[in-house]
Amino acid sequence: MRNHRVHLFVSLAAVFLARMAGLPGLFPIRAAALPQRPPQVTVAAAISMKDVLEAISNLYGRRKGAPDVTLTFGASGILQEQIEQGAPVDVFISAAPAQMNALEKQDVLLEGTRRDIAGNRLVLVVPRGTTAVHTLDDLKKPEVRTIAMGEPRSVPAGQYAAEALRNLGVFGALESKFVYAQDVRAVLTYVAGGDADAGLVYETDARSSSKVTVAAALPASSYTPVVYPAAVVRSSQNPAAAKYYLEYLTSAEARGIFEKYGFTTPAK
Amino acid sequence: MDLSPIRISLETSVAATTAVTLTGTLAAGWRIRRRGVFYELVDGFFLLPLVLPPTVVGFVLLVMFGRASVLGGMLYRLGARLVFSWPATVVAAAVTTFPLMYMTARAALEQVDAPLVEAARTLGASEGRVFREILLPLAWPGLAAGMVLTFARALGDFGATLILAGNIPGKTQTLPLAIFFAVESGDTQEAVRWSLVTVAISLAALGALNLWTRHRKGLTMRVVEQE
Amino acid sequence: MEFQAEIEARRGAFTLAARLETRGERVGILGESGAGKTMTLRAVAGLERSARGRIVVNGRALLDSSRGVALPARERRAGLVFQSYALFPHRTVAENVGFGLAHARATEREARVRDILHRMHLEDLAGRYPRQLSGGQQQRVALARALVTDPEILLLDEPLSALDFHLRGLVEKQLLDTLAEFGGVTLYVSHSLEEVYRLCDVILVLARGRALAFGPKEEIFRHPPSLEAARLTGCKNFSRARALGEGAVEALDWGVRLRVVQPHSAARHVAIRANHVTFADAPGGENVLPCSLVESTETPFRRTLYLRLHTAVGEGWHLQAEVLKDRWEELRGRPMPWHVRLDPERVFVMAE
Repeated sequence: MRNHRVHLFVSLAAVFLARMAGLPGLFPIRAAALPQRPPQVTVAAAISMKDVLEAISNLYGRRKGAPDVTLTFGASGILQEQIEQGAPVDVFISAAPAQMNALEKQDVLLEGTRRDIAGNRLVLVVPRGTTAVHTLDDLKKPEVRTIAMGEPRSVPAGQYAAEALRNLGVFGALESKFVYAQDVRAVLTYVAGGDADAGLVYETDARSSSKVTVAAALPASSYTPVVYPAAVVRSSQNPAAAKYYLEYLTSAEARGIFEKYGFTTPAK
Repeated sequence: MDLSPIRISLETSVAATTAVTLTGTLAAGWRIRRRGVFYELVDGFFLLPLVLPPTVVGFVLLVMFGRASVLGGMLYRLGARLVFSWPATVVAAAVTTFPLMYMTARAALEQVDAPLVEAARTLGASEGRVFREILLPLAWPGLAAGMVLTFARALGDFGATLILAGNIPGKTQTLPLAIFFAVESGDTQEAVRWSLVTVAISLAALGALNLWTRHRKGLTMRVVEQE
Repeated sequence: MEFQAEIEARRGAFTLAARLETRGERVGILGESGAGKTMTLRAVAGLERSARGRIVVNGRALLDSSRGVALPARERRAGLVFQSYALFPHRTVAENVGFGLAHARATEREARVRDILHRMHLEDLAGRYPRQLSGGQQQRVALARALVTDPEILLLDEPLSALDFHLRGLVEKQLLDTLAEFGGVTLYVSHSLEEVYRLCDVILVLARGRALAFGPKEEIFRHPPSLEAARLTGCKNFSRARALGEGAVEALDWGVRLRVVQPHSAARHVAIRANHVTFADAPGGENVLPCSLVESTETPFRRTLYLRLHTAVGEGWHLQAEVLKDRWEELRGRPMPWHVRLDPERVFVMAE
């Protein structure tokens, strides 16, 4: 009996202490007020930027005096909503202009800070080792039962893919084969596992998986160019630090990394 | 307006509830009144889908049935495609709801008075007959409750369905998937419409099952306790 | 007809070891709650998973652990009437009774059900459900259900215990009639020794999972083999004793020498039933002891007298005597001391 009570007390105490340790998280302002810490910049970026921005962060972190950057990733649509609802984001990087335009219209962006920091290309991917699909027309073959893409209404890559296929006049013929995923990672998973016979993703996504190969690139003329706009949010507590970070993203160092990952970079 | 999510959800939930009611009740019938470590391990296995997050369940199913796996590869060569098919919605819903039915059925069957089961045995009834004529009828209220839980949970399954069956409008897009993607795309009105439909279906099913239970309860009596 | 059983069973810390046999006599199983009576019945019926040993009915082995034989309950042809009756609440009386006849053709089943319902005066209730029946009716239905299948063994677990007292007499009489017609082996469990004595021929006395006595009822009641068997069969008066030779023992707790008829060389206790204690008109006779009345209690038909023996040491009373009401009327006016006589024929001598 006594052992039980002691045990219970120790467990409760441990839980209590663990909880207490997380308490400063409840008071972000106070945490930020702790002395001798460089200004924080929170960057909300589209998921498709995850790997490349993290790689850039490594380089960036070596710079002296550079503001600390916290990266957070999500679907552009959701990020847009969160920023609209007042999420404490300093820099927003979207996977398509639409979300940025919406924020700009609502006067949520800091004037003059918006710029395109990268571009992307749409490609057709297939499971590594398969040979049935070489061109877009091959998608019409009966062996191709499932084509994965992002859901057009909520995933920018899917939106572009749908646009391209419509402009190329093949959307109707292929529609019954589509599986709509909630993000491009899912599309890659479907194709990599072989459950989808083909998928439409960005070139950068195709490069990130060793289990898929690029079968063809969609003609650039068939879809609105994919650009990644970035801007500082008006309500940012550290606009100077945010601008500093944004500048860095267009530097030669950063561009090199972008291109390494398969992004295109805007002409200077 | 495309009403296919309603049709798909109903078909999936009814199919999954039927499958799970049968398998869950039989599994429970096999399990009751047996003791031992083996049976407790079996319990743990059956309850896994309840303990794991639905997306993990979906992922496990994808790994099991996907083309890249042993089982899935075999099915693929036989021409069967489970992933991204309508049957996958049933599989996903059935796997996630099985633990609910199993637990409820076990409890319902175990609370049937033991002397009744024993009396049936002394009167020459086989185990099958005992199950059919004594256990099932007297456990009915509990089993019906299990069916309601199963149907409601099957109707609302999202994570496992999305991963195993995918989001294919007209084929695998159930109501929860339609709601999710409507929210994702910012179309709150559409999301609200689908949500109301889901609630209406749940209430209708609940009501129907309650009516049926009350009718059957009139035929079920309690053993009069005399001491 | 032959029945032999040697049973060992356990549940948790409780173990049962019993043996009994009969050639058609009704066997009563007597004991207090928790003695293992129900467990014995269940072992015979095939409901006790831990049962080991040997149970043979008319040459057919229901259980034989040495040969790995253990028939499941449904093959034993043993009808069990549960203490709680265990009638199927969702079936009518007729359906309950016909449950064990599922293998028979419908016409034959209906005929047999109708027949037994008629014989047990239950025909009017054929369409009712158990919850609509009285306790006595439920008991008869449970009995009918067990009997209609023509079992080789009939097992009754405290059939009258759940009934209201005033019903017992009537139901017991009906039960006796039914049992008289039954041609198989009957095992009757009860904690009431009167019931067991009235309804059975042979008695197995159980205490804490062990058999204390087994044999014809008269034998057991007249010569209980042990102290506990005597107590369980209703004997109330005990005294430590010492053999004195020549047909006499000294009753130590009662402070008196007694002449006895039973073998006494190894005597350690003597006992006598309360209803065998008689009152002598005069002192000084053989086995006559002076006493005073300490208190008395009454039941509707008898009086129990608690007597202090003048020869014994200790406070309080030493003997219980049971007399009929009119005998009491005769006695009560007499002046103390009274004199009780312990008939030598009635004194039990026990070696333990």
